[in-house]
Amino acid sequence: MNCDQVKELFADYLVGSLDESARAEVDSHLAGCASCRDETRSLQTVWAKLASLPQEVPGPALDARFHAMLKAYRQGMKQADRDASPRVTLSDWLARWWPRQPALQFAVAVLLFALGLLLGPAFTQRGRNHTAGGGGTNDRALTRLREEVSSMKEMITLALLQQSSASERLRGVHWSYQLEQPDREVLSALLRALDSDPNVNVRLATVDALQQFARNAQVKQGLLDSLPRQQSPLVQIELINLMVELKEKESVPVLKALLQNSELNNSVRERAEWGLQKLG
Amino acid sequence: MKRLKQSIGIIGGAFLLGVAALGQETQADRVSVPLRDSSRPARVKANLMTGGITVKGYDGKEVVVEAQLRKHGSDDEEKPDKKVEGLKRIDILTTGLTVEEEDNVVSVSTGPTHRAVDIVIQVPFKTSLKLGCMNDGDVMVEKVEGEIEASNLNGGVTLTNVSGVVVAHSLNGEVNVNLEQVTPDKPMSFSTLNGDIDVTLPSDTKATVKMETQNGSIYSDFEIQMNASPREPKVEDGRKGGGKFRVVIEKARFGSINGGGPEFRFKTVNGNIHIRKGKQ
Repeated sequence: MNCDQVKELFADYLVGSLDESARAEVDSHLAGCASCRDETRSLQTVWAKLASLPQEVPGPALDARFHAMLKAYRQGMKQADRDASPRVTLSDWLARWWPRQPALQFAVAVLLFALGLLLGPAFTQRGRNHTAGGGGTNDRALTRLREEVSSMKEMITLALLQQSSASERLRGVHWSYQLEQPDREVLSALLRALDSDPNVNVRLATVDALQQFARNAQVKQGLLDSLPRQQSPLVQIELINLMVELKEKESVPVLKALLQNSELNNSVRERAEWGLQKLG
Repeated sequence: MKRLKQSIGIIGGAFLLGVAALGQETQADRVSVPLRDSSRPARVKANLMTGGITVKGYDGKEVVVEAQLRKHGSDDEEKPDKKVEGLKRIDILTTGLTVEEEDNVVSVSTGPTHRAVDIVIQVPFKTSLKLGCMNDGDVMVEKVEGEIEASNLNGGVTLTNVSGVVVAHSLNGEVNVNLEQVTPDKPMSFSTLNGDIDVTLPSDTKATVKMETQNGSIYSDFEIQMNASPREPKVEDGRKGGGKFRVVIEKARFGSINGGGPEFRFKTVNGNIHIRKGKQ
């Protein structure tokens, strides 16, 4: 693999979506190539900084302004058609005001030019903002933009969850709070973190994050499966609390099985008994 | 991304120092590790099964590790056994200290020994830490600035005069953290099952705090704006089906300090929570 081929794979590499063999090839190239290594490192910092960007969404005011402008423009066009004949008189009227002396003509030209310089940027700026809002496909473009923003957030969540620093992974979990409808990949990543993240505090935060998606079948099953597997009593208690809050009857057999374990932490035992009482 | 770091480490050639000295009980094993790139902050990882970890920031560029076998405690005295009558016990006194440096990441571990080993690590002021203990010792950190991840099973976690981001957990011990400065916009998390949480934050810290204790109380001298829950309370309207109307507000208490900011989570089950205002 040469540098160019490797560079094409950088994005996938950083997100972690490369398959095993491609990843190994990139790894071995990076091992031997200092410039690519530097580039991945700087890309990684950019990636981390992207996470702190606030969300940009065009507001309703922009829509309203665009439609108002469009209406005004259409009206103007109609008016122009209707006024096709009086335009001759208009130019006559203008001609009466046009100075006869060349010096004055020049002065007016300079004045108009200066005025154009002053006003031009302001007008084009506004025009650009309006076209960015979207033409006739305004709504579609907006939806697409929203989708892009949310998939961006999903990517950031996924990327942060893979960091080696616990506080970065914590940030990843907190990013997922902002997702209304995370896709399967994000949910799986959160469930994976709940089961196997080495840090207890990160696992606790994932319980919080998954709470809002607990009606999803995949999430519910993941939470139930995780309860007996959890190493940390603190996370187990958090999961029991969540099950009680959701009034999840399916957790009853799981809690009963948990109580069979003679090595169960006392606080967890108390909470599980409390939970069974609440659910029963 | 983890893989990327690994590959960088491997090409740099793993710098490995294995020290398995047959020293005397009173003598500490001492290893000094130069960093590959002392202009970048180091990351130090240490994990102990039995014993405590103390990390101190100092004005230097190397990571200095000292490991010492703890003297036999009273409960370590074995009961007289007929088999050993007339025999003397021969101890193989080794801490099994192993220190590895890979691309500015220093990993510290001790060998398998039933005796407690205490470790003291001196690090440059700007260093990130990942520390874990299980039995018979505390995690203590002094004067370090960076991302600090500390966990303990049966001992406490005490961080004094630290700056940056903290993610701390102890199952059965206390979590005491004194932060001089916090990195803005990064979430933090402090949790324990059976201990108290005592955290001092700079008085101008902006944070959204989530505080939760099952059997304890919460104390603070910050002006905490309560009920700034980032999520809506759950409303269950079962009145149409003749049921009841129920609003569930999360048991955890949300509040904001200085207008709110990243989420700081405080969770204990059987302990109290203290959030103190520090100097600024």
